[in-house]
Amino acid sequence: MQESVYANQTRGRFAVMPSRKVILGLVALVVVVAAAAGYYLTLPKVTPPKVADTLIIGTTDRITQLDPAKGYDFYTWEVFHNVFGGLMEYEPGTAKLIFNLAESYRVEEGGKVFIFNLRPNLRFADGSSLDASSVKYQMDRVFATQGDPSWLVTTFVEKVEVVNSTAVKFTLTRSAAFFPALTATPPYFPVNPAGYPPDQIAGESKAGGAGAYRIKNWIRDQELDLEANPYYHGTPPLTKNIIVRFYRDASALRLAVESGEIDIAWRALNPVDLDSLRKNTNLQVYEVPSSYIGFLVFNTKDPPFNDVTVRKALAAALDREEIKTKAFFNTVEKLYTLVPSFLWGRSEVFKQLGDLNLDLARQLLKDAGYSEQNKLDVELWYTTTQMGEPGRDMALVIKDNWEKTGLVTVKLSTAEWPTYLDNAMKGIMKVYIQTWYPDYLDPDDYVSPFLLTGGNSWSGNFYSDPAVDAMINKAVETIDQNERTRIYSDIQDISFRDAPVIPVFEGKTIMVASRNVKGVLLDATSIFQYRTLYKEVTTA
Amino acid sequence: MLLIVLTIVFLVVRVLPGDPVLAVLGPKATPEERERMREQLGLDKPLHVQYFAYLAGIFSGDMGRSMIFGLRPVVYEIWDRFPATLELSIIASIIAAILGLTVGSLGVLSKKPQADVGSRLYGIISYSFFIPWLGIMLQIVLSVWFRLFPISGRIDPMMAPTRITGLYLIDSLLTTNLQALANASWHLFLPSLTLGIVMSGIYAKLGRTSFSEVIVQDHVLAARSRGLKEGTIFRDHILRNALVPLLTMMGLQFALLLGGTVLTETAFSWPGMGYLIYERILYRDYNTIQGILVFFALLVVFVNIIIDIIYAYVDPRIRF
Amino acid sequence: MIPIPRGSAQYFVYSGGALVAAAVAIALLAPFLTRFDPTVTVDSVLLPPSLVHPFGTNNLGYDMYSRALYGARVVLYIVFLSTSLSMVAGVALGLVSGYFGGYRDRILTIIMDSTYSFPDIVLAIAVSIALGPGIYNAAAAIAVVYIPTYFRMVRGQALTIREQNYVLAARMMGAKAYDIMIRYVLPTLVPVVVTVFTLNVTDAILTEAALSYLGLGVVPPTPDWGSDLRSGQVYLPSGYWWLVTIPGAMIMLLTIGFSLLGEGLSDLLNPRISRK
Repeated sequence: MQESVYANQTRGRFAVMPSRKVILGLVALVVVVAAAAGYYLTLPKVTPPKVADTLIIGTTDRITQLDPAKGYDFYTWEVFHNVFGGLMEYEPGTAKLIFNLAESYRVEEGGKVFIFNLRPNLRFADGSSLDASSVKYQMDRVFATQGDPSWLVTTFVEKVEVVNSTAVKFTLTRSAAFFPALTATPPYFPVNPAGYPPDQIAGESKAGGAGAYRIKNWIRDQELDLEANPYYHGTPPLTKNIIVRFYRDASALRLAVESGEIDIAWRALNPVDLDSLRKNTNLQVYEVPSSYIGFLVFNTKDPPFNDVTVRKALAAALDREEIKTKAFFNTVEKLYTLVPSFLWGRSEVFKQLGDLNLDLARQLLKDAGYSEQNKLDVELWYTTTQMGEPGRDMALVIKDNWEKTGLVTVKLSTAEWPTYLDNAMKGIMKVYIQTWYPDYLDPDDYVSPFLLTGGNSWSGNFYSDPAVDAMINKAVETIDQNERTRIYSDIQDISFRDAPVIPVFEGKTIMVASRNVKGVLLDATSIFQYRTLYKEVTTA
Repeated sequence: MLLIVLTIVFLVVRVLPGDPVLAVLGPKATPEERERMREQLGLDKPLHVQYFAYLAGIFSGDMGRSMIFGLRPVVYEIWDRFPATLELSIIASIIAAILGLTVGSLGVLSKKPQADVGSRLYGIISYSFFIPWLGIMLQIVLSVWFRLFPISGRIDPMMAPTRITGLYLIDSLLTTNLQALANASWHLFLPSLTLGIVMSGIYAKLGRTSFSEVIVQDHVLAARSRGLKEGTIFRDHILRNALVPLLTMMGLQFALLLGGTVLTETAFSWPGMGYLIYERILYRDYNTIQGILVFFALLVVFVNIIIDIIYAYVDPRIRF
Repeated sequence: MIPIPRGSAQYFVYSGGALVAAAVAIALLAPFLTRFDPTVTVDSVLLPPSLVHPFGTNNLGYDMYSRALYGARVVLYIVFLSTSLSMVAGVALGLVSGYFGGYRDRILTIIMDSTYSFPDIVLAIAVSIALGPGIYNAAAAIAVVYIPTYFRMVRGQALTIREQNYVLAARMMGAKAYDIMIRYVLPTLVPVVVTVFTLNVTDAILTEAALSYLGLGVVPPTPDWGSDLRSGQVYLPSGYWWLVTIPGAMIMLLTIGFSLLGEGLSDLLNPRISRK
């Protein structure tokens, strides 16, 4: 049937005229909906933020194994801090030592004997009881198994005795004021005897200890599932389940936190990624001074750095600002003494040389006998195995700094970690870049490893001064903090006078989290306690 | 010959400078501790004693313990990672074979001479891709710009299927875990595509040679003159006969494939053996390095034997 | 085998040759093509491509264009050095082995076969770590990997030629083995060796890039495409694409050039030999 094309068109448009009833019905519907909407909009907002029961953390670190008597790497220790508990611990968000499993302690014999009193009714994650004998059990294990971190116990502890079910007596090899800080390190954490034999390392054991969380599952290099420990003695964790995902590389980690795949990105993002994530409004970046430091080590025994004038010259020519911005994208801070900013007792002795102080550097080099015709040849070493690309970039900046004096030529050399350490010890690397993580948070662990004869043998700086050794030892044995501060100030002055090591930067502990994650308490200890975390999930 | 390979592996690994004990324990350990670890790892014994212990170990299936990561037995480390590499290699090979053989055969079978030149160019260009670069380019476009694929990893957490073979695709099929299957495939796509493209160049060349040789043979001409359809000819005569030398070639490319996995895995952070060996070389984990190299060698030998068997089976003219 | 029309082989040689010649020219003329030193900071960091810096700058403020140009020098130098070494060593050993046979042959063959069964990269990594970083060490590492290639080929030829009548005749006339090898065997090898050399260079470029990518090749701040690719990779998610696109493209272009050249030469010189 032939029909006009136009007819179809017009007809299609207004083909159906709604009947009156339908129109009225629609209007009524609209009115009702509008009223309801208005009602809801004017209701007082009483939307309590709900807390998610699972939080996902991403990291590029790894857990090597789960026995506190053997584990000695950063992330493994973090797991230990959350799954096990020690006599003492650091208050989350501070570097302050507080009681954990212990509730008090007594010092006797001038710092050689410590008697800890445990809280009553402590339990392991499976409900079995934890008492003084449990503490001794772990101490004996450490002595028996001689794992990697065992020196933290065996160097300081002579004897451990059970006084009664809630008191443990430690007799030390010598007075050590910072012993309580040591009990906050994992080798001292009591372990559940059900999962940890007395004379063997149990690297795969999930039995745990007395921490805020217990291990539900661990798939090596993939994920770790934690759940709140029902027997924990303190306030229950705010988030019931924590999942840790292990990423292979930092770029993937960045993308994961950007896309919301994980709630928290922790260790280690590329500095350039951190820089761009700072601008992302869905994320917040937490930055606090950290405990690790970066520095240059000189071989002070062999030429050309056996001349302190040369060492000072190179120290003066350093441009810490340039290193901080170019190599690290502001993820570190400038450092002018061995003791970092979060710790007491520091005095910034290297500030007097200034940064990129080329005039002073040139003057000192000329004093040492160098000139444009006779330039100082330097071989600067770095390694990327530990420090990554920033290590190499730092070396490049330093090379540039030193060559700006016009009196130095720098050649860069690199090696992987095992060779690097080997070379260092043998003094093969006359000047090299290195980083240092402390085991316990005390100025001693920033001074002994560099200046103490014997304590610094790993560094190959061959620095040895009996007077300094005496000062260091005295500082260890003194209990009064003011007195110790005085001694450390003198020690730092000497570190400047003799300059076997040049401090360059101190690290920052940086974490990136989604905006709705709260309770992130970070501090210089870099110990990340999961139990304060929670994620707000608002229901509207 | 295997013995020589094992010996070479042993020597090469030992030649690497640097002290693994120092690396493991860190600079703070005392000399006594280092000595003790050396003893634990058997490094204090003279070289020839270590050598015999090493050989004995291999034949009894014990490759020693990883020096770096908590003294974990090397066989476990390899066992953890091998399926990842295997999966990657297999899918990549399939992609490579399909891509390469298609292009190669098109070049030969098409009437236009440009097609042949085209297929040769394809072979050249695809092989010239620097694997990490190709991987990164694909990541830029498909993972970062379009968010179509993940940037790394084998599977999302908590999604791994129950481990039967370690091959996620197979395991998820066996346990009818379709979510895991999808997720694993999604992660597998980019890395295997990268490696597949590069390998396809070789298959294109091989395919071209193989097909061009078969196509001029008498039985093909005879089939054509009998009036059989082109498709039938292709299937029954050309393909079947070209396939055998092709399989042999594929086996011989195995070493190349393994090398390719090292680069692919590093570019995509794929948790396989290629990445493992790179990691462990950096940390001087002698035992693991040795273990992996030996494993590689054994694999290559094994694959070659399989190829020989297949060859003998398929070609009735060859009998042992 | 379908004979390739001579025409297309020529095109391959021409286009490949052009790319290679361009690369060599760039390498030689680098100082004239750019005024920036590729190993020092010349400007602000992470600048995108512009007229002043056609390829932008990297995170230390180095000019990427200069690094691309000077990088050609480094790559070509290492690659030619290593493949020449491989060739000389492989051919020499192959001749000795194939011609003399005996226990020498057997030992060498076993060693070569064993090495051959390892993936190239893995072997190069191991040798490179043993030797340490640096241009010459990298060249040595790469050389070691490809010796067996030449060895096998030459040995096979030597074995065949050895049985030829004219060789037997020469021996009966008292010609010294050394003379025979040079006068009879070597000339027959030239076409094959040349082809393999070119294809070998292709592989060597990729292996060198792989070593640098893994951090094992040259020492910074030496410009090198592989290591620049690696350094640039972390900047990608933040949007700095020019740090990875350029170095990788350079590697690829150079490889394609040699590959085309090799394929073309192979057709012209060895029309009947099928290559692996």
